[in-house]
Amino acid sequence: MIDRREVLAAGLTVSLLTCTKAVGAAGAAPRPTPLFVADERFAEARAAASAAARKGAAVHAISDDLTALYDRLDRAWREHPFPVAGLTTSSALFVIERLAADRGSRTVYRGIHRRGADGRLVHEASGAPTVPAEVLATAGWTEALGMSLVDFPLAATSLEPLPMLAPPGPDGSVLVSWLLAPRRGGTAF
Amino acid sequence: MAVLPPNVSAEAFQSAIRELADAVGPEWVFTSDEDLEPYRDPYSPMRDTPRELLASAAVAPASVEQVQQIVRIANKYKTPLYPISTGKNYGYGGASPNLSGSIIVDLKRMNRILRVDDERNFALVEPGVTYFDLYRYIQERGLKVWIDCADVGWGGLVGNALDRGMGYTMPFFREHANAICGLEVVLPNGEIMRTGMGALPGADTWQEYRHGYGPDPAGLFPQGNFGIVTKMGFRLMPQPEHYRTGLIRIPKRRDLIPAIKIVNYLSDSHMIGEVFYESPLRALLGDAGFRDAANRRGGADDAELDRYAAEAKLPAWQIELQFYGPEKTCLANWEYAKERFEREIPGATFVDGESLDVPLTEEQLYNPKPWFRNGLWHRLASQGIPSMDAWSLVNSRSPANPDGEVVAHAGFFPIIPRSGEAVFKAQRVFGDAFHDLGLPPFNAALSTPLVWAMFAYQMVFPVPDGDLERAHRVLLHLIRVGAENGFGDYRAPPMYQDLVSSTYSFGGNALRRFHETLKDAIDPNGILAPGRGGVWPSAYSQYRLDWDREA
Repeated sequence: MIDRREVLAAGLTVSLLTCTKAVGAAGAAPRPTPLFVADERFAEARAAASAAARKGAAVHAISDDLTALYDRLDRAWREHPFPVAGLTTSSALFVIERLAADRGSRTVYRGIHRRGADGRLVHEASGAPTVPAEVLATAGWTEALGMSLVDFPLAATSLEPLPMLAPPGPDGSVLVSWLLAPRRGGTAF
Repeated sequence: MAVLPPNVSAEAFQSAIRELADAVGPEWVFTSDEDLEPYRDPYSPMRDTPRELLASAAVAPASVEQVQQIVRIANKYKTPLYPISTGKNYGYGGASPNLSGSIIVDLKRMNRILRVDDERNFALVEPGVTYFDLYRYIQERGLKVWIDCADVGWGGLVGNALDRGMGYTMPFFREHANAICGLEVVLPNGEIMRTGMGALPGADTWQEYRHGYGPDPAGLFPQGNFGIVTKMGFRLMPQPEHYRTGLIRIPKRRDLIPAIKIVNYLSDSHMIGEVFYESPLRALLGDAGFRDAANRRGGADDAELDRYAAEAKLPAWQIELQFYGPEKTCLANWEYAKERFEREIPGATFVDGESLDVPLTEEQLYNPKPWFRNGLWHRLASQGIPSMDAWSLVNSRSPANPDGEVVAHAGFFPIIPRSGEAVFKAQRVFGDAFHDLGLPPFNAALSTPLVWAMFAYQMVFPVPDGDLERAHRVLLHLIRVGAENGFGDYRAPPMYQDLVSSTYSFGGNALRRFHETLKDAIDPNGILAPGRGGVWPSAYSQYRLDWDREA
């Protein structure tokens, strides 16, 4: 089994991820642009959303109350599943992932971005592809992340199943980036 | 992480899975770790330990007939089942079973709203219908009925009522199990039974007279394991014309005793909705002397707290009332409440709150300073509107501390008598329990009753990362201490259901023995939710959790 989990500490010398564009579905239909969900309370999320919007993504801003987003996705995913990406808190992602599981989608990428005890920003990514380490080490990582999430492949058939996040909890995470995509053959109801 | 049902071989399990796939379609049978993740309890204190309660598989039927087939297959292979409606019962185990290896029967595809009548004020729904689903249905059709919502709107009405969840409007509707009127149930032998008037062919009163004739078994299904509920009727509150709030302040600590008597009268006379008690003395918690007084072992000194209140010119308590109905009766009920308090509690003062026509406008609903001040979700729920806002309570989220501090989604909700004396006793008992455990104080003397259909005390414990073991010990201790003082828990995750059940021990556990005698008679193979509500069939009785023995 390939361990696709990479832990990258900005400012440290680390090996670069080797497969940033590894997965592509040959002959796949044109890739839909994900809806981008951003927690507007965080500058990083706002910056990522702006970058995603420049790549053509519609943006849905959230803060404390997830009702509007939940209602939107619950209704729309019943009609047809579509990809959704975001930069949010882990508790928001928990809600979205549980709804996605009911509506025929799954998580194909997840990144946790937290401040370490020494104050440095630490990025921990699951799934593939992800953003290169040297990009995450820059001040412009949020924009790069926003653009990358819009471009990541959705087929994800060669990905290992992602370990699920711990329940919304004191994991010290600052923000979580993520991409959900319809499962191949997945069925919503 | 794969687990098998107890006493079932891998070969037999695979045969059962194949037959389940034949019954519901292979895409609706789940066995991979990824697919089973949503059926784990994200808040289990035993998460990722060998004691975590895990499902072996899940199956999602689309019809009553498929549920019957599932039950028959389970009997054939003796594979225990654990039915859920939408599996969002977080804080009470989520979708996780009482017995590891159970197959989850996920009813969320059965999500039809079969009937809503806003002249006779009821609904009939399948178990996969969420609060959002029913709310949308009512709104899209302009029906004049309200639903009484659980805290988080993504849950199912049937599942919440079957766990005896609570809400926030008028008393009859707030206690969701109380609002049930008519069940359809697939029994452990695969038969379909309807309760109440549903048993009378041709009757159109299934959702109007719950009892029918003869013994009414409907009460066996909430927190029980005697069947899989496939349809449930609910009484619905007619949409009121008007909504009014009012605030009452009372000066002294012991004034809570007559205040609760008055509130009982108002509530039991259907004059008020949910009541919100609060102590303005919380403003003094920055004073170390006051904080010590409010957390004193053995209970607070009333006179001492009254001196603090008088010096600070603060009332000991304030009580917010909500009124629903025609504008004239809302006003009349508020005027009557003021008369009673003025007459019976010297020094009581009053503040008129909001007086609004229903439905409230967006501006009124999302008023950042609503009169009823217990969170947006509470505001919306008071108007019969589901939301996800309460989810924000699970984490204490802010830009500065987005995920750092967390409230472990574990609660202890003992039932206490509706009297001021009992409130003071509960403050002392649970305040001392925190002292016993060396836990940070929770300002026991200022804690107030949460007024749902039943009077219940709610305590939610902040649990630091990696200290779920402490949360576990706290819950065990509180359940035991509560029971020793006559305060029984009303609802618990599977991990604690045996302990709670064991505290209801009158007559040498006569109630539990009655339940288990019934269980063995109705479900001889014990395949349906063994252990739910502390009711174990003989076939699996060795799996009963005995925390006392382990202590």
